[in-house]
Amino acid sequence: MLGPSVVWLGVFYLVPLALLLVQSFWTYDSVNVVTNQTPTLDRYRALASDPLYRDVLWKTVRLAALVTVTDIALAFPLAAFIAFRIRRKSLGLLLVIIPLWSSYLVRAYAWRTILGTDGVLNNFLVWSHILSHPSSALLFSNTAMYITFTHVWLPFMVLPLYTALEKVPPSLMEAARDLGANGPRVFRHVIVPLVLPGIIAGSIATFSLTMGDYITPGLLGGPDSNLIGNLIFTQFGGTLDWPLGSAISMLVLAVLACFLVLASRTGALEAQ
Amino acid sequence: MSVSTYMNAEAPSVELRGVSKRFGSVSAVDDVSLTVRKGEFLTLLGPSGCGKTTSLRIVAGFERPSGGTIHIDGQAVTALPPNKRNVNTVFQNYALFPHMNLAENVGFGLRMKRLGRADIERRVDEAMALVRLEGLGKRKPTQLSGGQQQRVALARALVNRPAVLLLDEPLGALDLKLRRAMQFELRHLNQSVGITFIYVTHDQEEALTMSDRIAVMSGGRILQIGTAQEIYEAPATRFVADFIGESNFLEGTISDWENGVATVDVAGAGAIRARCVDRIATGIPVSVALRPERIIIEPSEQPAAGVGAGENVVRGRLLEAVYAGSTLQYAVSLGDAAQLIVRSPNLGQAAGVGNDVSLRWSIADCSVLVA
Repeated sequence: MLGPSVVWLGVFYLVPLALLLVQSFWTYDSVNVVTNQTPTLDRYRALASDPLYRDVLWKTVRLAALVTVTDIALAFPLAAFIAFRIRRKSLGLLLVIIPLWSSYLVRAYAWRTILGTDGVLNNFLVWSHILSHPSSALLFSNTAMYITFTHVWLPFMVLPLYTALEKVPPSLMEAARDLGANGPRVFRHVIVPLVLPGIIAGSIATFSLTMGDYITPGLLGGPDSNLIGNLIFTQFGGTLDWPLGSAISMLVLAVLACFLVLASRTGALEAQ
Repeated sequence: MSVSTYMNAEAPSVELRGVSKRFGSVSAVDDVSLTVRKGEFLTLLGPSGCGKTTSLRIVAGFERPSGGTIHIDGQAVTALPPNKRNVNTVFQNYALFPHMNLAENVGFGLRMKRLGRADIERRVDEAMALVRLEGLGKRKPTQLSGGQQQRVALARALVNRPAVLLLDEPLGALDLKLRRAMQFELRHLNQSVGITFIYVTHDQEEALTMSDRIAVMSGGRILQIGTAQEIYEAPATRFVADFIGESNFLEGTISDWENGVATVDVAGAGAIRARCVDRIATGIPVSVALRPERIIIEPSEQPAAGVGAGENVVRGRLLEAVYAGSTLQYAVSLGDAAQLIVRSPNLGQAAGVGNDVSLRWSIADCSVLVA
């Protein structure tokens, strides 16, 4: 049984990643815009010397972390509501899943119609006299990007969290109450530790999806909204500096690997 | 001792007054009143669905009663949540926290009370020693046997020194031998720590061997409350007589009553005299309840010599004899209408099936139940 999955992983994941790694050591001739296969650390030196890459990477990590934390905060009450408060749980889950049936692009564009100058939000703010003129600050900003990411990745946090919450035996919550814990302390000492694997599973999804995205910055971001994914995209699609693009990709992979190591330290991955 | 603690010591440990609980149209607990004394081991006994667990959950605070009041140590707690009540529960499935080790499990209640670390450690060690699990504090609950988990659950509740310990069928998941040992241990704990125990079970043997008093429940009501002996010797209703141990029931009508003894006409058996505290009018249909082990069976050709004035004697035909090791169980027909089960100690000789036999028992051993 292990054989086919090893082949699958090898052909579709490990080989491409290995090629990317090899390519990051190739030489780029910027004058003739060609690459040759002479091994060099030149592209990594370029990465280290230009603060642009470090700044954009740091900014992307911060945004991914912010989106993840926000999604945890939003998903908890929603998942708890579906798990404990409603009888038709499958209907609640369906409502969470339905947005996933539409294209990611559609959902990102939807935020353009909401946040745009002639968008729903601006019309409402003007109608209610909170603003005198429609604001152009809502769209094409880091905030718009943050809102969009938080929204489109939310189901990936809700689903594992719901699954984890549903597995918490009600008797454990009663036992905690019985032993003198009030609501917030039951939450902190019993519910959160028990659903931690679910939170981490969801966080891996929201964090890595944000880390790798380059569509939303283009659709909703402002002039300073480039993420690390956009830099990689530029190297492959614009300047044709594939070795640099590969080197940046390796950097992103290293960040994600660190994140996974941290996650596995909590023991949550074994429990899944 | 201050006056207030003295007054408190006089108050019952737990008092339920007219407590009811309805779930939709279903009445789970129906007008239950109950007074539990300090340090008492009281058992709520009944079949599943009789309301015993719901009653316990009402005392714990997990269920809000639809009507009635609950007092613990004289204080009204009806509206208080579980974390504000000085009671602790041992759950049926133990409900140990899987993400904490044993010491953390046992110390949870003390931590919630914000005790100092040294205090918590000392009291956890004491509680672990009390249930004979010293030195296992670093283990996780999953590394323990069912019996050990049970003892951790006990320690986790007792360490808080609650006024009342509530136990919801705590021995249900254990095998018979372990159950016997734990019954003894629980009884011993109750006597040594001086905490009131309210124990829920459907196992009559457990109830009889452990309890100071037993409340027999059915259909959300308490049918009878008393010591094991009172319940067994003088069941108040047919349900109680049938649920606690085994009983024969002879159906008949009252023909006479005098000084707490009624005479009942039973088809096939003639006039049977039985204990009957209150006067019942002639002609009222009743049952006579009689324990199988209180009947003496003899071959009928033997003269009924030595039959005292306080005894009933009937004749019948032996239908069946079952060999059960230490006892022999007989089925005896009294004509077509009635049949008695008799259980005798195995003294080495069994009566022959098909023979006529003579049965006798003391008037004090049978009682009249109004149908």
